[in-house]
Amino acid sequence: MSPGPARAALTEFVLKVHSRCDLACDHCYVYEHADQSWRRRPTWMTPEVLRAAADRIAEHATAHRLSSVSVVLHGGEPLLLGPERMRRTVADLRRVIDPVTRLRIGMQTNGVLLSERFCDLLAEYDVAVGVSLDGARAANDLHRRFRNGASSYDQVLRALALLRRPAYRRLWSGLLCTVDVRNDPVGVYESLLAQEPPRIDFLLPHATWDAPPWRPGTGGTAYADWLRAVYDRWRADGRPVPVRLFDSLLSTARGGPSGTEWLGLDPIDLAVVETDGEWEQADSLKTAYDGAPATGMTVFSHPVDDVAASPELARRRSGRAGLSGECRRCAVVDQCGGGLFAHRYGAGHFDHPSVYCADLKELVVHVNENLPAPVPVRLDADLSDGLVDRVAASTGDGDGDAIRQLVEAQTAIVRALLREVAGGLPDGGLGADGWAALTELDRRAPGSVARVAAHPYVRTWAVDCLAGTGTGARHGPGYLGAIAAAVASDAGVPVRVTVPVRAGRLHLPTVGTVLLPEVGDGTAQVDVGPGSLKVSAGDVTVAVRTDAGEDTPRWQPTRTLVADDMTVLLEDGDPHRDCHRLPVGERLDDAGATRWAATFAAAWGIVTDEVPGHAEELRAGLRALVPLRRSGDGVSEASTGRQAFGGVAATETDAGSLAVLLVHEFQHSKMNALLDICDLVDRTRTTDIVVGWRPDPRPVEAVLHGIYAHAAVADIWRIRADRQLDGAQAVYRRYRDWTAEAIGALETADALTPAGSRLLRLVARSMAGWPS
Amino acid sequence: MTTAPMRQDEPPVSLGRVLEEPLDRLSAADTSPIVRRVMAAHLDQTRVPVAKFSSFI
Repeated sequence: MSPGPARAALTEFVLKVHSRCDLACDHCYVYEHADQSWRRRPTWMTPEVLRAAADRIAEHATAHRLSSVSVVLHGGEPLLLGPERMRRTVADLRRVIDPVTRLRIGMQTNGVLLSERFCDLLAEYDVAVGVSLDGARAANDLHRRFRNGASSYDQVLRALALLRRPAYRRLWSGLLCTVDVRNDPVGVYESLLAQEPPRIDFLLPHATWDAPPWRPGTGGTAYADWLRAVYDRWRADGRPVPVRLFDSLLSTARGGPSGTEWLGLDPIDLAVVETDGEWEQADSLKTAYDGAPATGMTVFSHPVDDVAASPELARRRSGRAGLSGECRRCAVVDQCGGGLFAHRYGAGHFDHPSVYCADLKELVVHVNENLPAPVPVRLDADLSDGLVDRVAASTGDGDGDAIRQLVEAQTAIVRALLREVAGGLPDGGLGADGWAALTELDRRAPGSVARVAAHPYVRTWAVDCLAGTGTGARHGPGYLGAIAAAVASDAGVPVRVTVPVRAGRLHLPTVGTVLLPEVGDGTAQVDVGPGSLKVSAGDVTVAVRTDAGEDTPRWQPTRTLVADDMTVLLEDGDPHRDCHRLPVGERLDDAGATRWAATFAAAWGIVTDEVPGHAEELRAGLRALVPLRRSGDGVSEASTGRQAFGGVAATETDAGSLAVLLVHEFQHSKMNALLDICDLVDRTRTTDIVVGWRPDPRPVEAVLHGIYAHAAVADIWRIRADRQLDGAQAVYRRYRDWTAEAIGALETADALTPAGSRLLRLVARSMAGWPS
Repeated sequence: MTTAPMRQDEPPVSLGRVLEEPLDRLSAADTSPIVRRVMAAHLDQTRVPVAKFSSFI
């Protein structure tokens, strides 16, 4: 894996694209709190400022070899830009930043102006949309009103109805709710849930020791009480939607990152650009004092590195050392992290605990004492009995039958996911005819259904779809039509279905992509025939020979890599392959595909020669190889997706390295498949373990993954060392030592289930006879 | 979407049945527990948000 970004790199940039708002919420920190700098700012960010900001971000991403950056369009109200300025803004950002790194764009809006036109535009440029809502009408009307006092509730609900439409659902990133303890907590939670958001967060109203929050009576922990009531309900509900605040507390309880600036000790790696181009710190500081977020730098005068190095931001990357003495001594500091920086302000400095200290402490303790129960699902024994032993033993010996059992379990899981997606289809809506065709094909050609369902990125799509978090080129439930068409193509059965088109691309998993630039985002009718497709959309009709292997202006077939008795897909077209947390490559040209074919054939020869047991397993389970975009200076990267069994993503490399990473990554895939059906880790233990292969302590499941994968890598290098390959002995020893040390640490941690402990013992036993 | 508490005592789920029964004969009882397990694991993995900026979700 590549090294992480340098410590001082910033990865999140908030662009204040419009400094005014069409609402006059009385709890807004931009207009109603101490900092009044909005009065002297330009109303909107000019193209010159925007381009300078984009150039600075691109320059920073290039210098630090960042695999991704996030840009959040913020205000004021960003939609006040209007559609045309908004188009120029997002187009400029994509034009400048996309070529150098993966760019995620988000926008936080009050929703009042959100329209179909805006949604189409945001879909075109893949902009995620967060909406602010404080609860049901009465709760929302407490603060979120127009200047004349009128409610904004109906307009916001219209915006949410738009975002629930299948065409726009993928854009919606969640609901942001500011807590008012006068509202009923469970009532607020349920009213937010009723909007079916993909994610929720609860924010405490910004306050400081100089301007403390309103509380009923004196003292007490009203905010903790309120949030505790929501947490208890959310937990009892089975956590039906991610809630950032609670998920952060659960993550930090396990020693993981908080992922948010207002909890935990994660370094803060975000900066704000105001409409005039000034670099600022997080704008919540506006609540502290006039000018509090200022850095004295602008996008014209200073690169991001200078902003990152400023004392203000440096302090916020200093973890515990940057906190007050009282916080440093506190038992829950690792989870609370002193709370939001702005909330610590009082009497001219930030060396205080949060003004919400008592609430945060109470909430942290409550969450820690009431962790969610493991998901109460037990699977029948016929698939899992004995499988742990056989998969554990297959760190070297090879057990194709065990892998075929994992494949069967995966197929069952994907079938369950498909049914769940279909269960949410509206009558007669997009996807309904696809589901009808798929169920018919399931009777006529079950082998073809199984083959397409086994494609790693069908499951990725289904999970994203059900989580409501699919973004970008990913599809909604209508993709069932694409799956049905792919099955029909595999089976040679004539079928007519409606298939979604996204960004001019109609993709059939495992088959290929029809290019329909005229359609943009929409649908097409697909007639599948023997070895052929006829695609019709409006005035456009395209005929494709699916059995022809060549690219045409209308057709990009999914290529295969063939070596002896092994065939896998060279997956560079499936929109759902982008799940590896590393940037995937674009469609390969013929020369690139030829290079991959040659390298794969040579790598496969090495695997069958050096570790034939692993070759047998790969033959049974590896389905697709995804080329990654090389993001560093010659650094090889590879990855396995948690939801993509049988898929391995990698940057282009030499055959010897590809052989190792195929084995390495497929071990992760096997472990993921095993974790799907067996509980290996005791979720009630929150230990983090120091390992040799990473600088940061790792959660138990990650350590188990690492042991399983690195044992296999050590095995390869042991064989290479036996064969006197230069440098192999040192590599073997490194991987063997890492693995052995981690096994010892995991045994001591006592954090595995009986099945997990058994797997660990079997892996340790397989290494027992290896040379020192 | 329901706010009713989840049952904690569900019987084992048969993956074999989900493999063998035609898709249109599978019931929610056959598939929902499997989906819930997969989605819970997925959400646990992805719940660390992409944005640290607290005023965006």
